[in-house]
Parts: sequence; C-alpha cells; structure tokens
Amino acid sequence: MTAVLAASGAPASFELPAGTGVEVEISGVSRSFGSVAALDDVSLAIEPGQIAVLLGPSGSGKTTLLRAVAGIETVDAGTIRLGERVLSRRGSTTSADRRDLGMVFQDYALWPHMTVRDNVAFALRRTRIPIADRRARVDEVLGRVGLGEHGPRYPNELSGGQQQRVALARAIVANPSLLLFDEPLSNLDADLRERMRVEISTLVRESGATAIYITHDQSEAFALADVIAVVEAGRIVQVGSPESIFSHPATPFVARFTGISGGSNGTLRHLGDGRAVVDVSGCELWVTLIGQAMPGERVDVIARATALAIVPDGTRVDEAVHGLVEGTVIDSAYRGAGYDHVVESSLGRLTGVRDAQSHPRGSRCMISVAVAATFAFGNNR
Amino acid sequence: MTRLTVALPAARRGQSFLGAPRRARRVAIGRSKAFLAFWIVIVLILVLPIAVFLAVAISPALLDQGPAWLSVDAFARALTGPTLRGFLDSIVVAVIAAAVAAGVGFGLAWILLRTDAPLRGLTTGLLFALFLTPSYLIALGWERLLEPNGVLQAVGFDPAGIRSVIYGPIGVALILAVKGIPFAYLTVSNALRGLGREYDDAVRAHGGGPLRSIRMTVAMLAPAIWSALAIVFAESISDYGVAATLANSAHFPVATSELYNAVEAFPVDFPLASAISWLLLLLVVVALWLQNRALNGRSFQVFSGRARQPLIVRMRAGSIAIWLVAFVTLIATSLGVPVVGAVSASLIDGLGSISGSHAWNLHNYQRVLVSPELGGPLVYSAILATICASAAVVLALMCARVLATRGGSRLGRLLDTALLGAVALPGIVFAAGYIFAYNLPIVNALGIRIYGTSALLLLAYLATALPSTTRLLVGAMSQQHDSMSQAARVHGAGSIGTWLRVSLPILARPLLSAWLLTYSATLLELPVSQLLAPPGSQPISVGITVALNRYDYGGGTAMEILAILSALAIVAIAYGLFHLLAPRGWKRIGVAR
Amino acid sequence: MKTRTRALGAAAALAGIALLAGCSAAAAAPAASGSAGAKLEPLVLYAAEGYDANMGKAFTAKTGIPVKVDDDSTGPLLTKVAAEKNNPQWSMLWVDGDQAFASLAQQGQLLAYQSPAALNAVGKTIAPADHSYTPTGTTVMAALIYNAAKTTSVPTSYDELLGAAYIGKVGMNDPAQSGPTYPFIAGVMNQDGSKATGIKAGEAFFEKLKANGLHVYPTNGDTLHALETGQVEYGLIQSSAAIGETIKVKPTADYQPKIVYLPKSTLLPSVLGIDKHIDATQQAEAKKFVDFALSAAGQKVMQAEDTSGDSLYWPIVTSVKALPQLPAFPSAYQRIDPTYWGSQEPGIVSWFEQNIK
Repeated sequence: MTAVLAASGAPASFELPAGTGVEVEISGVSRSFGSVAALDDVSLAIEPGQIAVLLGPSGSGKTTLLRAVAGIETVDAGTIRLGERVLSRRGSTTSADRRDLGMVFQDYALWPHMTVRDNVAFALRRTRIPIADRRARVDEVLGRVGLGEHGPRYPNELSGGQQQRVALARAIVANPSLLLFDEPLSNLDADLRERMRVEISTLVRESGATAIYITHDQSEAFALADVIAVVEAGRIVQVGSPESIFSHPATPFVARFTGISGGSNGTLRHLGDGRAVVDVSGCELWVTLIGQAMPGERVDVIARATALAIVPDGTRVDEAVHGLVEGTVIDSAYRGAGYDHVVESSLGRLTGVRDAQSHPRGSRCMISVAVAATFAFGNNR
Repeated sequence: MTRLTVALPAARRGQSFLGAPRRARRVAIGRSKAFLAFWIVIVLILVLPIAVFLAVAISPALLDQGPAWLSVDAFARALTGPTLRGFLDSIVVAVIAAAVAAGVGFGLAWILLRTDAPLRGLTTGLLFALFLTPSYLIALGWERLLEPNGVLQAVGFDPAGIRSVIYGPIGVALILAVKGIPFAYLTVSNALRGLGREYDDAVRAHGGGPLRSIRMTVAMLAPAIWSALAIVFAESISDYGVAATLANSAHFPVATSELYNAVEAFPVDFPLASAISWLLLLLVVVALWLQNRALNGRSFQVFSGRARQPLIVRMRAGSIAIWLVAFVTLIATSLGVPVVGAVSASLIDGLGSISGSHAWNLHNYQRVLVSPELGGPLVYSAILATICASAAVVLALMCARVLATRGGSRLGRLLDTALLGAVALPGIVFAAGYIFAYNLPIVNALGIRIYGTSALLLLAYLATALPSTTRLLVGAMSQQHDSMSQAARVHGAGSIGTWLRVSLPILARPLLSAWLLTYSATLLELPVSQLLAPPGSQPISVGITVALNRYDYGGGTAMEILAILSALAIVAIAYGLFHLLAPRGWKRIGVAR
Repeated sequence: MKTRTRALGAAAALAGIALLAGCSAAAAAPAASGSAGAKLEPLVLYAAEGYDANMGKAFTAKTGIPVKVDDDSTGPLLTKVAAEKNNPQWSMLWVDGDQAFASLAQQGQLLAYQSPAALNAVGKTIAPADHSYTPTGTTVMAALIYNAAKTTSVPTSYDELLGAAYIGKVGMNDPAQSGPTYPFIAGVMNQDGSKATGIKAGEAFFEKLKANGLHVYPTNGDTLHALETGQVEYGLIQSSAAIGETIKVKPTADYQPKIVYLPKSTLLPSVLGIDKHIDATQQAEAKKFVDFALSAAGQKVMQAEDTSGDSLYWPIVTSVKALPQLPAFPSAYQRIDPTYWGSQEPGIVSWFEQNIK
C-alpha cells in the first residue's frame, strides 16, 4: 500500500501490511478502587481495524478501561480478549509489553533523557526489524508526522504539538495491531487539535490497526469513530455508530453528552408511532419518543442544535416534521457561514440556533423544531 | 525514499500467545510475595527494634530492666523535673530550627533553580558539605570561636555579647537550623524542579511581580515545604551533637541530653529513655497531624511527561549583591565556624586552644595517617557505608514509591509515620532496640545469631539511613509521572528493561545524590556504631570518639577531618564520573536551563 | 510491578546477609565449644582503657588465646552491658571505677576470681573482699591542676577553695557526662567517713563552691581546655589526665600546669571483671587474662601504650613500679564503698545536675 502523506507535506511511501488490526472483546469487566466502582460490568466488542471511541466525562471510567486494555490496570472480574488471546481476567494480567500495543498518552509521556529519535526507536526493540533498518524506519515515521528534522532534539526542546507528534510516531512506528489513545488532543489548542485529529485518523486507518480512543469531546468522537461507546459512571450506556448515537441517543445523558442545544421538562399528551406530542410550558410539539411513557407523565425534552432553525414569522410547518416555538434572542455570534444564536424559549435556553442572518439581541423570533432531532425520554425505559 | 517491509505481527502474536497467561499468573504471585517481603524487611529492621525499645517503658521486666511487668513509673519520671524541661526546650528549638531551615532551604532552592545567580555550583557543594558535617562539629566551632579566651578574643575582639546569645536556645536553634538546611533544600528543590513555568506566567500575566511569583510558588510548594518542616523538626528533636556540646556548655537541657543521661550514665535507666522516646514519637505524630491538616490531603505530584521549562529570573546587580552577602553569611555561620574550630584544633598539639604555647603544624595528621587507628577503621567503615548506601537506596526507592503513590494508601501513611518517627528517635534508641530485639535468647534459640556481627551493624545502619534516604528520593519519585514507565511497558519493554532504560536514567541524579549522602552519613554514624560494632572491628566514628575522650583532641579531629575529606573525595569522584560517563540525556534531567 | 520485583530482590539480598551472618556465627560457635579444652575460644573484652587493644594482642601473643576487643568509652560500654543483660555477649569488662562492678556483682553477673599476684597496700585497699572483680591499677580523683603562670595561691584542702582567692577560678567536670567525676563527688561526701551526714555535708560544700563561682565542664578534656584558655585557673580532674597534661605541655610564660592533691584523694581504680555466664573454657581463659594483666609483662604493656593518658596510673601490685613521670602517690587517700556510693549515684548526680551545674 502506498500512501501520500499530508502531514509532512512531502511525499513518502512505504509498505504497510494490510489488515493488521486485531479484534478486541471486552466482556463483563469490573474494576473497583476501594469502594468506588470505576468499571461496572463493561462489555464491548471492537472489530479488527475499527476506531472505537470511548466517550464520557472525566471520572466516568473510560481511562480505567483503556488502561485495562493496555495491561497497566488489572481487572476484578470479566475478561479482555485481543484476537485469540485472553489478556486480562481476574488474577491474571498479561503485562503491557506483551500485548503488541502502541499508545499515546494524555501527557505524551516522552522520556526526557532520550532524543526524539530514541523515543521513537524505543518501540522498535520488540520487532524483528534488523537493527540496521530501524534508524531508517524511525526517520521515515518522523517524516510522516512532520518532524523529519527533529530526530536529534530532546523533547523539552519541542512545542506541545511537536511533542504530541513524537508520541504518535512512537505509537505507530512498530505497526502494532492495537493503538490506544488517551485523550491525546486535550493539551493542544483548537486549531492544532483539528489538524492532529486528521493526522491521527489518517495514520491509524493507513496502518490498519484497531484503535481505541478516549475523549470527552463529542465532536472529536463523531469525527474519528467507526463506533462510539458512551461511558457513564463506570458503565457503557450506549454503543453504536456515530450516526445512530446522534439520531437515537439512549438516555438524556447520552444526548446531552453528544451535543444538544437545550431542553426542558414537559408532559406527554399523545403517543404516535415512535413519536409523541409533549406539552412544554404550554407549547405542544411533536418529538421523537425514546423509551416508554404514558400520556400525562412528565418527560425530559431535549433538542439538538441541528433540529432548530429560525423561521420568519407566520411560517407554516408540517406538524409531523417540525414544531414551532417562540423565543427571545439573547446572543448572536458570527460563525462565518452564518450566525449562531442563543434563544430563550419555552423549550428552555437554546444555544447554537443557526441562521444565515443575524437577529438582534432582544428581538422575538420563531424557531422550527425538527421532530427527528428532538427527543422525549420517558421514565420507564 | 526508503521502502521498508515491516515484520508482520502474526509471528509476534504466535510467540507471545504461547506462554502468556502462565507468565502473567507468576507475575501476580511474585508481586504479592515481593510486597510481603518488603514489609517484612521494614518490620524487621525498623519497626521491631523500635517497638521492643518502646516496650521497656511500659514493661521493664520484659527485657530484664526492672522488676515491674507493667508500670507507668518511667513516664511519671519523664514528665517531671529536668526531663520535662528538656522536652519543652527541645520543642521550642526544633520549631524555630524547622521554620528557619525551611525558609532558607526554600530561598536557596528558588535561587539555585530559578535564577541565574552566581556561585550556584558552589552553593550545591556547600549544601553537600553541610550535610556531611556532624552537628557537634558546628557547635564546637562556635564554642571555639566564642568561648572566653577563644579564637575571637585571641584576635582582640570580645565576643561576650554574642556569646550570651549563642550560648543558649538561640545558638542551639541556629545550629540545628543550619544542619536542617540541606534537608529542607533537597525536599523543596525536588518539588520546585517539577513546577512548570505556567504558574509563574500566570502570576506575571495578572500583574504580579517577582515577589508575588515567589508567594505563588510557596503556595504551590506547600506540601514540600511542610514536608521540609516536618523532617527538620524531627531531625532537630533527635539531635544529640548539639545537645552534648553547645547546649551542654550553655546548661540548656534538651530531651536528647536527658535521654543520653539516662542511657549512658551508671546505672543505665532504659525505662526512662524509653519513656522519653515515646514523648519524642508523640511529637512527630503531632507534627504529621498538623502537616496533614494544613495540606488537607494535597500531594505534590506536579511533574508529568510533558516537558516544561521553568522561567529563569535574571538577577540585577542589587539582587546579586544581596545574594552574595547572604551566601557569605550562610557559609560563615554553617561551615566557616566549624572549619575554624576543627581545623585549628587538628593543627594544634594539645587540646585545641589557640592561645598559649601550642605550635601550629601537621604533626597530628602525620601521626594519624600512619596510625593503625585510622586506616583499618576507615576502611571498615567505608565498606559498611558502601553496602549500606547501596541497600538503603534500593529500599528507600521502594519506600518512596509507596509514599509517592497518589492519594496515599493507608499503608503509605503508616510507612510515612514510621519513617519520620525513626528520624525523631536518637540513634542510640535504635542501637539499644537492636540489642534488645536481636540479642534475645529466644532469637538465638531460633538459630538467628546476628548480634555481634557486622551484618547486624549493617542492618542497623540501613534502618537509621532509611528515613532520610527515603525523604531524599520521595520528591524525585513523586515527580516521575507513572505514564513514563507505563509508556515503556506499552511499547514493549519488560519490567527490568523499563527500569533500566526509563526509570533509572530519570532518577539517576537523585539516586546518586541519595547514595552519596547515605554513604557519608553512615561513614561517620556514631551511636549505632558504638553499641553494635562487633568486638574486634572498630568503625572510624568510634575511633574518633575514643581518641577525643582520651584528650587526644588533635588526633581525634585530624582523623575526623581526614574521614570527612575521604567522603568528599568519594563525592567528587562520583559526580566526576557521572559527568564523564553518563549518557548525555541522563544529565539533562533535573537541570534547569 | 517493577518496584515489587525489586523489593523481592532486595529482601532476598537482606535475608542473604542475615543468613550468611547467622551461618557464620552458628558455624563458629559449635566448632569452638564442641571441643572445650583442646580448642581455644576467643575472649570478648569490652574495654575503655587506652592500652586495651595492645593488651589483647600481647595476651594472644603469649597464650594463643584470641581476644576480640570492643574498645570504646565507658558510657556506651556500660549501656551495652545493661542492654545485653538477658543474654550477655562479653567475657570481660575493663573500665575505670568500681561502682559499676559492685552493682554487677550484686546482680550476680560477675565471676569471682582471686589472682595470685601480690597486691601492695593501695591494692589491698581497693580489692573487694569477695574478689568479684579485680583492680589492675589506680588513678585518683581529683587532681587539682592549676596554672602556675597565672596564680600563686595553692590550696591545701578542699575548704580553701571556698575562699575569696578562688572566686570564679575553679572548674570541674559534669558527673552526668564524665565517668570519673561521680567518685570525686562521692569522695568529698565520704570525707568525714559518715554516710549519714556525709551527703548533706558534701552538698553544702558544692553549693558553697558554686556560690564561689564554680564552672562545670563536660569532661576532663573540656576542663583542661578551659584551664589552657584561661577560663579557669584550677581544674579538678582525674589524675591521669592532669599528669598527662603536665607531661605534654611545655611550660610558657602564660601556662604552666602543676598538680596538687588535696586530702583525701579518692581512689579510682581500673577494674577488670569476668562475666559469670561464659562457659568453662572461657572462664579459664579469662582468669589467665586477669593474671596477665597483673603480671609484670602485662603491666609493662599497660604502662607503655598510652603514656600521656591511661598509662599514667599507679600500679597496685608489688612487682611493678609506677612510670617515672608519675609523682609520688598521694599520702592521704581513701576508698569509697562502691556498693553504697554506687546505689547513691542516680540521686546525687541528679541533685548535682539541678543544683550545681
């Protein structure tokens, strides 16, 4: 396979073995620290070559899960299987160095006493690459991440972004069958973060390795993932493709964590086919019903930003597809392609309400609310 | 561009597939066994001897030290009269010493690591030398200077005013503080090294000047500063060197002088000494409790795998002048004084007085250099110190690891208390505890006959060295973020490989310092040497003391100075070799620039 | 994980050290005791005399019996003996002062032995009737050393030191730190021979001495140092230290140390005691050592080794003369009852610490 490299800007090519990714199967894994259950009966299967993103807030247990897969952490119950090998179960943990991994740490974990080249070459020790060829391999990977000239430098002579690239080069240099990423972009600024995200995505897909990537940033997760697992309080609450999680969040937590505009409480009025009419502060709307609820019950109503649009007064809509709410503009922010508004409405405070033109602060406006991207969560799920 | 074929992982997979689970189980079992072994060692060398010694206060009959099987009489005696006064005096001077040492230690750490002040290298050397200098030598130096008809008076300056100040609590606290400075400096500087510049930047960005920056740094380093306070406090209440010299001349009783009076006078009163030890330990527990309260559970793990460079402050001429004055004052009060005292004494035939008829010459050195009382004991002590320092560094590393664990496990806190408690107990308590514990007929009946051997002396040295060696390493250990070694494991290094290629290089300099300091301290250790040296083998410190006690002041101090010089030579050689031989990357760690 | 693997290694190493030591000690013990009589067992001598190491060597050279000498100061040695009480490891103890030995004898720790050596009059005074320990020579407490370059007043009795001529000029040692000093204090208290009134009278004397400006320094060496530097003009110290000073120092215009003995001087013998718990072989060997210490050959070694310190003692056996450097033995001397005064030591030292020091 030949690849042209975006990162270095210079064309480089080398042969990558196809399909080196390994299947990862996590089943029933639990891990407690004292009385705190960091992982509680977690199961997840990842296909070879997939990028799985564990998405969750800090403290949700996603880092513990990643560390358990890496072999840095032990498990109290359950098993972790890589391909045919059971690597972790209660009382038995194959050590990290025997797992055929590459890993990018949140703090990069570059060894300060080694040059950039030595840091990267470290991961080649376990491979069968002849020593004579290792230098070339290292330089090549450094070239791929745009650090071709920085081999002889020490980590503390590099910028944060450059250090991150070294960490990435070290993770991929030996072509491991599994790559682990522990919030690798959290220490970078927004612009660099997006560029690095693309590089990681490109490099991982080219290598063919399976990857587990943890983050608390939903946009990062949607951009990278083949499959997303949303983690909350030590449990995986939903697994699915980015699209399915976006369109059918299993819980209010998942919905909130994967990006919403706003939400409120309402009372269920009628039930339809997977849909329902809810009364939110006197305003009746069609929404997508998730879980089950009976008319008269209180439900959580949550709208994604994509559900919302500012429409001219007097616009008529098909109630089965869109509802209408009225609101007051609180803020308007220019976003290049248009304006994002914050609107106080009967659905609560809605953020990221997009329109091509700016509406002045304090003005009244009508917002159409798409049924497909507005969810009501019943209590009996 | 090169085309490379990367080895397929299939082969690797097959290879590791075979033995993996079995090996994993072995590792798990090995881990718990090793863990157990570590604690057994700690209990045997540290906890047991202290516990046995402490038992004597409550039950003298248990160790044949009195008729009572259960008694509080020793405590009643410890809490009355001169013993109580000594105890209260100790608290006062130790608190002052701790505060002064922590302040100076912090200042030095900041100047050495965060400024471009001149003489930084020399200052590090000074701290090392200070660490090596026994406290009684500093005290004697002051006495030689200030005593009636002493050095100052001989050169035409009447020090009566200064004498009345130094001969008392202030002088005692001053010397203890000076001795505490290296400990405070090491503790604080290790933490300061890990503190990135972003905090400095934040202060500057919000309009703070250098003073505010220092205040912020103090707040950030609070855990290390508290740790420094605790260690200097513990070192000070257990010090006997100043108690036996300056405090004694000033008729200012402290707890340790009372303890030694109980143990080294006839008849020996172990129950009283044990009761005083209880009180000293109580002080440490209180100090640790205060530390924990003040920190509210904060720890000082601030360093990470992300490299950060500190901000180096350029000193202006005025600041440099102030620094130089401070530096000279420090040198004069710490090393200058004992050097005058000891060197003048060692150069003079007789009793070390400068006035009078005594000629200055190298006669004492000539005599001592050819004397069998120097060579044999010095070699014996050097061998023991070498083994002790090596073992202590390994064991201390494990202790530091337990202590540096984030959040701090209950075992970690227990170990912390045990170690600081051990610092607070004078060496003679250890030594006597070792005799009690390892000379029990029942221990001999079990086939353990290590009392009266160099091995037991070594274990006791190890136990006395362990607390301070651990303290030296815990800072460096806390800085090393776990991710460093985890990254190595993940990228294919085994546990030994990770240790050799990642942990060792990062810890190389602190390990070397810890080794050298432990070596030097052990070389001149006295109380344990006196009670536990096997008959027929005399450690150098005992030789020196015996010479001094036989009024061979010149010979004794000459031996002492030669011993210190030998230790300094080892230090110089070791650092020299490190600079010559260590890989370039190793030398980058912990160096600000 | 790596730490713990290392922990195991270190623990193993430590265990190894302990084991090695244990083995070597265990191996040595039966080999030695297994064939008593035929084999020689090493003697363990705890000693605080300047000549002890050489005495060990000389004795081994003469008899072939090895001697391991633990040469240290009296304080740590007595601490060690006390700490080892339930399992003594010493064969012989040799330090200055007989109170400790009297106490050890009372506790049944000493093996009685009477050496055939003939004692002189002083020796007969010091030697205990039950032979529970053996004096090997004696010094006296105190010698009054004074600086003849600075003063012309030379007292002839202790009471004279309370006079105006001596205000602020007299120094002595601290009994809590200087072994020979308690016998001096007890000796002053014993002057009138009555135990009942002696302590009170002695306390009164020291209180007056303090009122007259007495200086208290830690040990002989410190008191001598004070004398040399002019802080005091009279020092009450052990005779061997005082004589050593007069020998070492060349008199100058500022400093001419001289000695006078005030009646009555208290005998402060060097004493050798044998541990009762050692086996028969060692007991026989230890007795030989005592004989050697009292023999002309042994005394010669004792007198040769530390000629500015511990060798400056007065012999107590008829066969040996004092070194020529020593002055005549003080004519007025006394032995204080070591059992009685030993039992008073903690109380009197504590009184001194609180009221005089």
